[in-house]
Amino acid sequence: MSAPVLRVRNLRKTHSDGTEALRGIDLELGGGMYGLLGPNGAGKTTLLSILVLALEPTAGELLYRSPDRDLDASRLADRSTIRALLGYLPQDFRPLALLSGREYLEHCASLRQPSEPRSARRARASDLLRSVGLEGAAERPAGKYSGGMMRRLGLAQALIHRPRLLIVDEPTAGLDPEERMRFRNLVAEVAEHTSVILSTHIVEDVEATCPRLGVLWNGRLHFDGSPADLLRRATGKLWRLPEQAPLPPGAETLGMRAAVLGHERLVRAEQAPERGTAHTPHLEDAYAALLSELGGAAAIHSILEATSDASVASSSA
Amino acid sequence: MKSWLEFLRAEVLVHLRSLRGRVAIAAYLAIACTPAILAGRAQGGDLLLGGSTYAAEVLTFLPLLSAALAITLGLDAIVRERRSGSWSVLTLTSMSSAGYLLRRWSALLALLLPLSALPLAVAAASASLNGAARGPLGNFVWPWLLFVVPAVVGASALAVGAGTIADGIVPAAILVALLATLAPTLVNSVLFVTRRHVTLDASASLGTLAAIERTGRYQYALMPHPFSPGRLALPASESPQPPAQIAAAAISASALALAGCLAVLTTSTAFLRRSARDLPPWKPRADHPLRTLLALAARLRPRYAPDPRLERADRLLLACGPLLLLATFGAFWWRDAHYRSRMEAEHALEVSGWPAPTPTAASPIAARVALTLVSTLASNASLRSVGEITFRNDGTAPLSHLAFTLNSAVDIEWLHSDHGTATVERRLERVSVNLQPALAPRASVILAAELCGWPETIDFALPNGPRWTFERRLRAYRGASQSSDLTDLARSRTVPAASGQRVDLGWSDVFLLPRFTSWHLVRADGFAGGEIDVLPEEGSAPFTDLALSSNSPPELFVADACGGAGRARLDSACRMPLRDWRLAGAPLVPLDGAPVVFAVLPQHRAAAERLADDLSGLADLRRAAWPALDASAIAPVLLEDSPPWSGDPRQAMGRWWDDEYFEDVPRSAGRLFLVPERWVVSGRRLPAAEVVTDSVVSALLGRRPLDPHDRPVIAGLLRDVVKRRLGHGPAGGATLGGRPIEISNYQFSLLDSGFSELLNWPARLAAVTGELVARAGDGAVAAGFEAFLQGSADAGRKPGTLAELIDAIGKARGDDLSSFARDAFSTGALPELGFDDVHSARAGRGFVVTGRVANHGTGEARCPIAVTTEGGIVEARVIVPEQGEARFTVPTSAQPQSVLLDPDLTCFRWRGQWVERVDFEGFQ
Repeated sequence: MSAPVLRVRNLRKTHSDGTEALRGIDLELGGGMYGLLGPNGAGKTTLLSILVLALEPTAGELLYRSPDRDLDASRLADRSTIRALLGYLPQDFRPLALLSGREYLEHCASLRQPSEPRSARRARASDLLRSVGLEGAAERPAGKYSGGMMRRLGLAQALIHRPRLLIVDEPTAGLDPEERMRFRNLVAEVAEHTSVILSTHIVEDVEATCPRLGVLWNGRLHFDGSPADLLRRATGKLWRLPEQAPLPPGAETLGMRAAVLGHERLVRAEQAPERGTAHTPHLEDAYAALLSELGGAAAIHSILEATSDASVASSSA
Repeated sequence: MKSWLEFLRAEVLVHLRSLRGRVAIAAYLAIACTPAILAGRAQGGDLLLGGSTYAAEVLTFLPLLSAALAITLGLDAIVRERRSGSWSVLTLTSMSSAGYLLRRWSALLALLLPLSALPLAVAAASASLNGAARGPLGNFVWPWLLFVVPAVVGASALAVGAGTIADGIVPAAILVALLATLAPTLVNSVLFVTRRHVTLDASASLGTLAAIERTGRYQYALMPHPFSPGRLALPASESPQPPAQIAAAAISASALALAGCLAVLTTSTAFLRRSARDLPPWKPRADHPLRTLLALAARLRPRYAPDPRLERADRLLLACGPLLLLATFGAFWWRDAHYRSRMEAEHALEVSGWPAPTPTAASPIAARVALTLVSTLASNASLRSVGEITFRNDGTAPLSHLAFTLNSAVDIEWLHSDHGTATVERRLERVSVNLQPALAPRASVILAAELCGWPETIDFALPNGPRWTFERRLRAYRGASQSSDLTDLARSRTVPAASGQRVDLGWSDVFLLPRFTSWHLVRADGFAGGEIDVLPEEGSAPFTDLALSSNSPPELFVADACGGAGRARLDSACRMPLRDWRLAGAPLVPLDGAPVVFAVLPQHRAAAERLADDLSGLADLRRAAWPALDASAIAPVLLEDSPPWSGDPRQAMGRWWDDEYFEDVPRSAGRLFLVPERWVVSGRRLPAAEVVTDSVVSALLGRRPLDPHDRPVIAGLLRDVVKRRLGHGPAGGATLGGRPIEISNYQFSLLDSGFSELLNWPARLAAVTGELVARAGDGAVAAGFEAFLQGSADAGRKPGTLAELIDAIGKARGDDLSSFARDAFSTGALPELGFDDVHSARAGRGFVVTGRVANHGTGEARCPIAVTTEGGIVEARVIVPEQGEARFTVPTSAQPQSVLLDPDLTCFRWRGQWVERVDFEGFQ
């Protein structure tokens, strides 16, 4: 792993209503792309909000590495520099609707790099518009962009000041498959020279782009490693079972799948169930197995919901 | 600066592209420019409007409209950003919250301020297109700068601040409403403990009521209305407005409110919420009686919690709000304390009666002053005067004390006496001079002095009511039982007597004015039966030979009551009471070729030239008024008189708000006449008779000192005599009339009248004059006056009395008028006559008309009766005693047709419900 850009120690957050959103996160990030997986309510957005300094943690340490020194988010004097290191594409990103894409990018550039000459800011905006494929729509009001175009513009604004760490929150939710793939590729290109945290509940996005991922569940980071490590954890524990076959004790259904003859269940069990066939897991299966292991039915329910979201997006496209 | 320009660019683009923004801006411009268009429609006819009127019409609405636009765009700008979802990106910028807010707000201002100036540009264009004279640029710029700009600054700061804090239009509106209502009440409740009050009425500062009033007038103007025609434009003064005074009024009126708005903006730095605070859990107990409310509060708490991570710049800006409020409040406190101590000092002086007045035996026989006016500020002028005043002791006892009035803002540099030592003691405007040794009878003393200062008067912001004196107003202030009864003393103001715009100086502003009347308060009738303590006005006005040489700034054209006039330099001399002397001036230009001096504002030259015929007629009228007087010696000097700055923010616009202003008569002092600016622009004829009457009366009264008690009646009598000569007597002749119940309004002594008789005093005097002229004849009255006023040579310096005058007129007529004078002047007698039992009968070859005239009123009446016959009119005269009757028998040669009582209205009486005409049968 290259030199870390971010170090998180025992990060905790308890909301004012008493909900414990984060229960002690430890994380160290270097270059490249890091996928943050977790079902809805796992604490992803809370973690990202703390990382971009929009939310104060209840406890813990948050350090960023600038080219020359460590920056502590709890130190007031460092926060401005930290903000300059960060690029952020929030889940609900919307540009100023009445500005064109180019105007919006230039406005963002002026906010983030006020000392840069206007010509340089313009050139940077043009480059980014080209990179994200919005060159042809640059003069159109940003409010009239499609969802995918808006995300791409969001990515461009997050990169306008050449951040060291790009944080992207659920960027492909609601996008059609073509747009999802396009966006994934864009982010992957960025990750070649910038550290990226990709927060999502769509496993496919992580699988396609992230050499390292973390799984967040119930405010804790339960897994931090490569996709291969996650797959290894699930190997030998997943079985396909005909729909009518009885579920052995201790086994949990992860989902239903179409089979040659009707449907079959994907189950997690330590021992091979009767009539069960060993299943070679994909990353999504491994992720589901992990969540099942962690949270049982509730976790399975969450992941089923998330999977159906992605399926709906695919089918509607 | 670069990022600020980007902010500005984004702000302009967003508002111009947004439908809401476009509608708001278009509506603002349409409404704000409409008054300028309407003023163009009013141009022409008798009304010659200048450019300032166009500005004033627009400025009536501009503060209010601009504030509304600022609030609309300010809230829209902030809320749009939050609601659109772009905020989460903007929070990641590395600039501080303070930097972001200030850039955002100033970008909004940079959009709003030019917009707010646009209607004034339209006003200037409309004025130019409609041929209006170009008004002073300052009349456009200063009110905009001092009323519109603060309104925009305050409203936009409030909108951005409240929008940021409340995070939504509805919560922001609630917050603004709370701040506007609760904050002033709370502040004033606390201040009431210290008997202080601040004005935080934003609505008044924005001229809301004025705008509503004007809108109502437009309705009248645009829709034909039988009672109030209304005007599409009320002429505004073209006189340059005094920026320092407007600034003082604007600051005292709105500084605290503005500081409050700015404090809301700076406070909002903590509520930009780029970082959400880590709030400890707060869960209301399940059995708590207010659990629903507490749960709601707990839910809203994170949304409205301040930013926990404020940077240094943020904290600095956050501190600026309270500091600004504190500084403004400190300034308020200082002004309040300043005026409070001054007010208390004036009151203490008023109740003390200090010092004793100058004895009437001390005659100010001569005064000469060299005066220099220096206009160092556009709104104020200093003066330096060196002069001397000569007193002669006309009494029989030695004289050791003199008292003077001197403007309290004018200092005495030195004062010397040519007779021993003069010791000066001074309290505010009262000066006491003690002579050592005392001045012996018939001896004279010259007091020489050098004075300098900035003459001004203080207008205390005290509660006011009809005819309230300073003492009464102060009593109301001190007796306030609740906060709302108090006034904001810090809004008191000083009114300069001389400035680059306007000079209006009395003798006490330039030199020592002898005070002969006691300074002790006297109890008098107030309004509606109440009693008030009144500081008596100077009642003694001895004539003095006065000489003045003055230097003033070249832009000022000045004239004085002696008839002197000129630019930069003025030399004049005359004999008149120092009390009545005035020096007036303004940046005026005299009309070329006019038979008398008539100086007007350059913008009104064309309007004034319409009065050329009136000016030419003045000379003829002077001859007709009093042929014995040398016409050149009483030639009047006329100056156009602009309304003084009143301190009312509405008048920042130079407005004449009420139509009654158009009815004002010119003010006069000696030969100086101040013709209201509104007369000139509205095409009214010059009040030539008034001008000539005043100049003749002033010249004649200057011949002899008058008894102070009788002086108003003598002067009024002379004025009415002259007016009648000029054909301007009252339509009722010598009679008064009305509903029977109103007779008591006119039954009072002219010599000893009170406040309540002030209204009808001129009418009774005019009626009395009518009978005097009718009874004695115009020639005898004039001769009587000449003889009376000549009396000073015969009777030394004995002041003339009314009895002496009536006696002189009687002698000139060869009649005894003393009983008439007693009834008419000393008592409230008012005869009320009617015919009774009137018959006509044949008598020999002719006819005879008999009857009675009954007097139902008071006082003796001597009235003519006239019998009309086929052959002409036969006249007779009856003398009817009080509550009595007089029989008359009038023989005629032709058959009588009717008999009339006092057909020419030459008899002083009340015309009530009694019979004044009898028509005989066959002739009705």
